[in-house]
This record gives sequence, C-alpha cells and structure tokens, in this order.
Amino acid sequence: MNLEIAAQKIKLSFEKNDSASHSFLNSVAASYGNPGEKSHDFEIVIAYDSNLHDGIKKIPEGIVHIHSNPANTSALLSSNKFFSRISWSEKTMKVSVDNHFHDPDMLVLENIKLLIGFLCIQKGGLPCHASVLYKDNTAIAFIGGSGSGKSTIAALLSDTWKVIDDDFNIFLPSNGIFRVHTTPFYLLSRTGAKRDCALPIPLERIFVLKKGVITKMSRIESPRNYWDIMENTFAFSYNDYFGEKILENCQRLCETVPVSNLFFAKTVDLSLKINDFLQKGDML
Amino acid sequence: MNYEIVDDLSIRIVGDELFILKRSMSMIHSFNATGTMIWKMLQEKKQIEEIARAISERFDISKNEAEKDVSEFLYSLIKNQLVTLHE
Repeated sequence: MNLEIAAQKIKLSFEKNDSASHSFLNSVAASYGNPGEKSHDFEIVIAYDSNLHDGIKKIPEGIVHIHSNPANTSALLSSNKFFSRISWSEKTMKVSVDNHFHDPDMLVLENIKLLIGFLCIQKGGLPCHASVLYKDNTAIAFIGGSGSGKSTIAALLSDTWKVIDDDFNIFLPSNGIFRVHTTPFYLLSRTGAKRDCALPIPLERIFVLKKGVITKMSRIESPRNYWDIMENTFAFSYNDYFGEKILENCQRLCETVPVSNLFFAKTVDLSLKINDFLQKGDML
Repeated sequence: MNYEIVDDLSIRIVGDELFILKRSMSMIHSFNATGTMIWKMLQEKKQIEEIARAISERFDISKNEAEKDVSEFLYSLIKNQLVTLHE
C-alpha cells in the first residue's frame, strides 16, 4: 500500500496482487472493486468543519452503511472523531473532521482501520487486539490486557516464530476455518519491517496471556473463552446490526479455534513448550 | 412498580450463560445460569414476586432469600442501564 500526502488530499493505492502486506484489503478489493481492475487508488479528501460535516452530525455514532450495488458501492462511517464517506466506484474517501483535528496521517490510518474492522465483522470475522505469530502454515494468537506481555512473548518466541502483527489482527472464516489476514498497519508503523507470508494463515490456537512463575497451559472452556475473546475484540461503536454480528462471530470463533490460558515465565524453553503443547493438545 | 428492558441490547446465549452487549456504552455483561433464568422471566414481563417464587422453588431457598437475591440482581441491572424502572 502506498500513501501520498499533500495538503488535505491523500492518495491511497493498493495493488490487488500485493497480498504480502495486506491480504484483507485484497479481499475487500475483490468484493467491492471494479472487476478486472488490478489496482485501486483512493483519493482521500479531508474536509475541516465543512458542510459535509454539518450535514452528517445528525447520524448516530458508530453507524455504517455499506451498499453493495456495483454502480454505487460506498460506505459511511462515523466515530466521535470523524465522519467518512467511502465510494469504491468513484474511488474516493471523503473524511470530515472538526477544526481541532489536524493529523492527516493518523486520520487516514484510523479511518482505514475502522473500515477494515467493520468489513471484517460484516464478513463473519473479528478484528482482535492480539499479537499474532506464524510459522510454516500455522498462526497462533496471544491476547490479554495492556501489559499482559503480548510484545514480550513475541520477542521471546522470535527464534522460531515471526510476527504478523502485534496489535490489530483480522480473523476471518472461510470453509469452516478461521484465518489470520494481514493488514498494512504493522508494516506501516515500522520502517523497514518485512513480512514474507503471503496468504491468510489458519489460526490454530488463541492463548490468553497470564504472568506466571512457571510456564503452564490449560484449555479454557466455554463460556469463559467467549468472554476472553470479546474483551479483546476492537470496540468500535455498535449499531443494531454490528452488535448482533460481533456476538455471533465471536461464538463461531470460539467454536472453531481452541482457546488456552498461558501462564508464562521468561524461560529459554518457552518456544519448545509451546510447540510441544500445540502438538500434544491440551494434555500438558 | 414496573420495569422495562432497554432496547439498545444485543443478546447471545453461550452454554449456560447469557452475554449482553449494551451497544450505546460498548459494555458487555454476562450472567450465570441463575441470572439467565431471572433475565428470561424479566423478558416475559413476569412480576418480581413471581420470579422470586420460581427462584425459591428451583434452588430450594426461602422466599425471603429469593426476593432479596432477585431485588439485588434487578438493582444491578438498573445500575448498568439494562433495565429501567417505572413507578
């Protein structure tokens, strides 16, 4: 994905085949873009306190309308910071904010994150606050509150596992399997970072991080796993439709992907123990 | 005294527990099996006395104890803006 920022206009381009950095945007492009088109350029116009903003203030926070009519594919998003009107057919994203908001980079990323989150939920998935690692064709996710050790564990396992994203991850079902889709955010926030995985990777297990004196793992049964995942789902504002969808998608994720507690100590054999656990299941 | 369940809720039953998402506050609440049983009776608009009687029979506790439990539960629902009360 490329970003060109000039004054209050931003050009966002992403190629359909550039899947290494953002497979989920690829799938969005396939769903909403014009058939046969190889790239999707969006012009993002930021309007400060414009008529658009005034007209839109009446729309409740958290509302999103996504029209799938090919002639008029568009989405409306709103949060407490901005309102956006995205049109796939016109390839524009018009963002309206109040006069106090002057950080275009952040605004664009926040908008895209919000859009991706909504689209993910609409497609049956969940945008999760997690650290996700991968090896071969297996991904494992680590969730937990702030300071629970998501970044620490990613560093501890870096000898054998690679990071997909340590913050914003998309879990999306297809053919009965939840897969981790890559998004641009991790790479955008780290200069020079690279990722060599191209395709969505099956999510094998979710670990809920807990600090411990010894490393220990145990399966979390329903409905506790549901609670843990809901707590770590990105809390966008909800309307009727998305509230129902988030609860439904979370249940499907819990039924498909095992969730385990991971009490971890900073020991050298952590990676071995996790590998062993993944192979032997819940017997440790 | 009448109560009313507010309308900005999304609800899902997972196993024996009930999860409620209060959309306007982005808050999630979960109830255990007893709370779920009470909630279902609130949805059916049953009177508090009737709910207490059912809880007393189901869990073999005194009617007074059941009424106290139901009132406390109802109070927590009101506090969390899941239910409103009308005189």
